[in-house]
Amino acid sequence: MYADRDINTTENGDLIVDNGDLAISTASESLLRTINFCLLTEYGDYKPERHFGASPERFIGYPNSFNTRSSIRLHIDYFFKNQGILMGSTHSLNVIPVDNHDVAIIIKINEMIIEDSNNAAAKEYIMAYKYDFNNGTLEAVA
Amino acid sequence: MPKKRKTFGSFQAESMNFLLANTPFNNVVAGSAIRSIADIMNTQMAELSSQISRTSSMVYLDTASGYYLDLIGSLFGLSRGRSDTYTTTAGDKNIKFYVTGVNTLKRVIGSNTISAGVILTNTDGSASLTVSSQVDFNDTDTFVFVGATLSSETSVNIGPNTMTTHSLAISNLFVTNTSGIVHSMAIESDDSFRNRISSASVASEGANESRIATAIQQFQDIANIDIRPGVSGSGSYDVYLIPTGNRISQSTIIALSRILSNTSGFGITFNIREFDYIPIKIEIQVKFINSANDSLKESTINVAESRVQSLIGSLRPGDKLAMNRIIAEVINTDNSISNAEVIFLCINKRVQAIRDLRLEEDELFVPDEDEINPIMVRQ
Repeated sequence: MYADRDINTTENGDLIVDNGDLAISTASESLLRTINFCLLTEYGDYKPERHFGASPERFIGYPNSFNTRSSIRLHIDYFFKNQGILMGSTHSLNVIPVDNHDVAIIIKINEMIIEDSNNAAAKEYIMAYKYDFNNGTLEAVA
Repeated sequence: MPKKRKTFGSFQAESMNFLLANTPFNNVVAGSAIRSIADIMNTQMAELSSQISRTSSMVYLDTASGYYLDLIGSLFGLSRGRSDTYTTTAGDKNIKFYVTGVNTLKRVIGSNTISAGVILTNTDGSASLTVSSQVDFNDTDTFVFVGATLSSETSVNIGPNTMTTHSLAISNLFVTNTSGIVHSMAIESDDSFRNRISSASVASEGANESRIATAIQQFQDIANIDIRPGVSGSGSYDVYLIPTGNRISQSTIIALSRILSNTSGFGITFNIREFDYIPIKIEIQVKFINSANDSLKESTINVAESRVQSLIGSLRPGDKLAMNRIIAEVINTDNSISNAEVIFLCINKRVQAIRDLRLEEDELFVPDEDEINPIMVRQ
């Protein structure tokens, strides 16, 4: 069950102003933005909170092998749980090879979410990212 | 009281609790937008709090340190004690060139002067003094006192009768120091300086006893002071100086006089009093064990004389000089001494029966400066 809300931002993290005030996100927006921010941040890079971040950036230069993909999956999963962002069976995580030096990271979220109406409903979201072993960058895929 | 530092965690906890209680933003885990904004602001707030805490601690005397303590001291006209190079003047009667037997200085040296630049060293070579100015003497003089400065800016702590080597290549000319040389180059510690500032803050109320004491505390050759008001009439005070060694140096007394002139209020007169220096001459006869060779005997006698001079220098007004203490000092110098006995005692130029002596409340012993070797240990 997820009902937490946040300041609303664009996918790039820019603040959204609504009628001269900060916009309030829906619960699902709040969850997706938080996952996105955590995944794009390398562990230890965020100064105010050293124990934050799940980016697989440190796998730069690794071979695109089964073992590496397993490691990336375990790495992301561990930090999501460790930081209290995604817990237990509410999500699944897959790392799929795309070509010689790219993988796709697919996060499927299955969570009971309470939106504005206070009615809880099971919602499914899929987030996709592309990770490049050559330069260690992670990009959200629309 | 200094402002207590508030940590980043403390600011965060307050912010998050406020957000949860007063706004619709309840996703405050790391990674949320509201948390990121709070993180940025509270990082700056924690830094600001740290600066305020540090700055506020530096404005209070009990917590200020280093440079900031120096600034507080400057409000009272005080500066942290930084020692100058050690200097002793001829008037201090400390460094003495002398000859023995029927010789005179002129006959041994071949002139009536000891020139500036002569270097004196102690037995192990760890300290050296340079004669600071030329000293002239009469044809018949057998000893002369000279002024000297430490050759290097170092801390020294050496006893009397240890500066016994000089750079003049004259075999029958001897040199010694009648008082110990204690000189520290250490910069005054925060605690000591804080103590002086504290006294000065009381002293700033007027020309009171604390103010005078504060002004005097900075001199290394003053061990203690005794302020006696009204001794020389109403509106006056006398300051008795107790030296760390045998004497207060002349340069200290001149500097002190200048300081007290500034410290004392209008219409107040002061006198700087030294205790009555009672010249003492003493001879101790020692017996060595049979196996002691001449070289050992000579060095042991030197050390024994130094120890007796230190003992005499450490006596305070009212103290008792017991002959047994002198004998114990000499016997404890080295295992090669089997026995010691005081055989001659001369106080204030008058030969005395060998007995224990007690100083009056305004007296201090000093080795008789008119004698070539006032503290003599011999076989």
